[in-house]
Amino acid sequence: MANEGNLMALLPLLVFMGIMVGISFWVRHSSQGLGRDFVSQYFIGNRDLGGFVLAMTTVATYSSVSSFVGGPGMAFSIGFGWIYMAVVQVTSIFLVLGIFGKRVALLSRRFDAVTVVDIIRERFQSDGLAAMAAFIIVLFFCGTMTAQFVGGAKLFATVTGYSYETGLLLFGLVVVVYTSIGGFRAVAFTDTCCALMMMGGIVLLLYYVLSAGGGYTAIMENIHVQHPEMLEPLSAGHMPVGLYLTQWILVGICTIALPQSVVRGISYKDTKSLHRAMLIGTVVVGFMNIGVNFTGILAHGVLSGSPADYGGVDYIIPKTIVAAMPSALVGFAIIGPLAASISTISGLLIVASSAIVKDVYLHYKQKQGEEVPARRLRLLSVVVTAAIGVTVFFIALTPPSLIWIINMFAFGGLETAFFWTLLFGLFWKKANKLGAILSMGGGTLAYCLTQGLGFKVMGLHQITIGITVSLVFFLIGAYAGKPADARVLQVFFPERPEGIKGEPAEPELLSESVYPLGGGKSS
Amino acid sequence: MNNYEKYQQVKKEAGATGVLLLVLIVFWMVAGFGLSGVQAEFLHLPVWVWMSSIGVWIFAIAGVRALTHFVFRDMPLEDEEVARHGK
Repeated sequence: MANEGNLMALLPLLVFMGIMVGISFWVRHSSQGLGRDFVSQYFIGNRDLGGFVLAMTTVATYSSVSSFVGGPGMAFSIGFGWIYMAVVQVTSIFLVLGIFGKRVALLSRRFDAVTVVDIIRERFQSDGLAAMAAFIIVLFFCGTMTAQFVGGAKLFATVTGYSYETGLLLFGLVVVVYTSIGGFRAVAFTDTCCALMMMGGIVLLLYYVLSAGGGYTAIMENIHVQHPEMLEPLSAGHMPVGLYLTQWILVGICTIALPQSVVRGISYKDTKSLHRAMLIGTVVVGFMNIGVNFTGILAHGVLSGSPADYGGVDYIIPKTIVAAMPSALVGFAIIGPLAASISTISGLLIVASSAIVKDVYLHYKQKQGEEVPARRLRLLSVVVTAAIGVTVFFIALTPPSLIWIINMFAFGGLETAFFWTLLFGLFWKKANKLGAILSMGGGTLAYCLTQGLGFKVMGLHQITIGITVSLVFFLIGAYAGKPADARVLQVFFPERPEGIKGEPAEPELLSESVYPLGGGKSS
Repeated sequence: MNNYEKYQQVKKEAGATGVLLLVLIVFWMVAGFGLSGVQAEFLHLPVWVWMSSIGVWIFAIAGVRALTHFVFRDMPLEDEEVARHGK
């Protein structure tokens, strides 16, 4: 491996990774007694998260290495318009928890559901749809995880001087280990540590960038003179209005449908925790987005060239860390972005694993009427999680071009696939199986095709096409297809209980709710 | 709370969350594009920069606080009507 590395930069990282693994062993050890329902324990942490941890794990999974490296790099070249755009992400946490949080929590307890796919399967009564959802999750998650691995390892190599492979081994394998061992609970607790390190990292870097740049006033005066366009929302045309619009859709509104976020609605303890998490999450996600991008802009006090001089926007933050921080502290500064990377990987890894173990394997076994012994389930869950992680790890060693395409599709693809299916499925009685299948399949296909071909409408990101096509397909399916089973609707959309306690219920009302739809419609 | 009441409450909360989103979008537009013509500066930065970043953030926090305080209600998450069905 490389020999010119900065050992001091490695030490804090090693300690941090050690703590992560320690947490997972502690979680595994402390949950031994709770082994009754292993699947719920391993994949959802026994629905036991408090408000603070729920907020942190949701934010940490959502904030990826690109929010910490690529984003502020763009802020460096575009200016305050980039922060104006990034700030739309303050909606991402309260929207997903406020709209789906309680709905999913109530339903999952009713069905003993552990995954988002479980809920989709119950709502639409379709194994085909569930299989498609599981496939989309695994495929896109693998693409995203690879990108996170690569982004983290590149940053590591640039900052510490060690090789890319060393970085990948160091933090990549550690994520896979702690996620496999500790399951969702370990993911939630390590995510909390990661989120705290991210915030600490931002403050640390901000402090040193300010002092290396000669202070806030000096940096701002320099920007006023050298880059006046950075002080305009449209940045002299570098920041088109269309980009603002699509960012609202892509990283704001539609993020409510990301399965890795929605699944967190299954994981918390009580409604107080949810309410607290909405508030804490909004505070944290705003702090991170504004803080990190503002730091990117202030980097003008440290780096005087254009992004191209440093190898592109992705290298702005790594170079800034190296230039502004004393070498003894570089190791702390790098933990922030790497924490962003591993917390996203762990969150995706456990959901991808649940898609295979719970949504595909266990469901198949249950249909066959076979009971899976607890010991085998335990082993299988750990092995599948580790296997997905290791596979992605090897892909990240020499990433094929296909993986970049999958990653590029991932965010919008997941949103296209799940947005209407979840929103309509959970809040609209007329939503049915055909609509969901058409919407998820057709929408995702339309999105991937148009993105692959580079086809755009009015220059807007393809998410606008994906989300529109999946909406239209859903409506067609909902009106053309068979309505959902009355028995299912009864559970998902409870009727007002007939009659007053003690009195016999009115016979007409009682029989009405048994008939399929129409009659079952509530006012 | 029975299941019907819970669902009605959850629907109300989801709707209110959507309303907060719309209000926030309007605030965001006014704070950024709306104020971008204002020449005044505060701490070396135009007013719109402050309002559209930290302003939007604080507005969102206040909005969520109002939401959880006035609209959201605590409720038991366990299904009380139907005993949890076994495997």
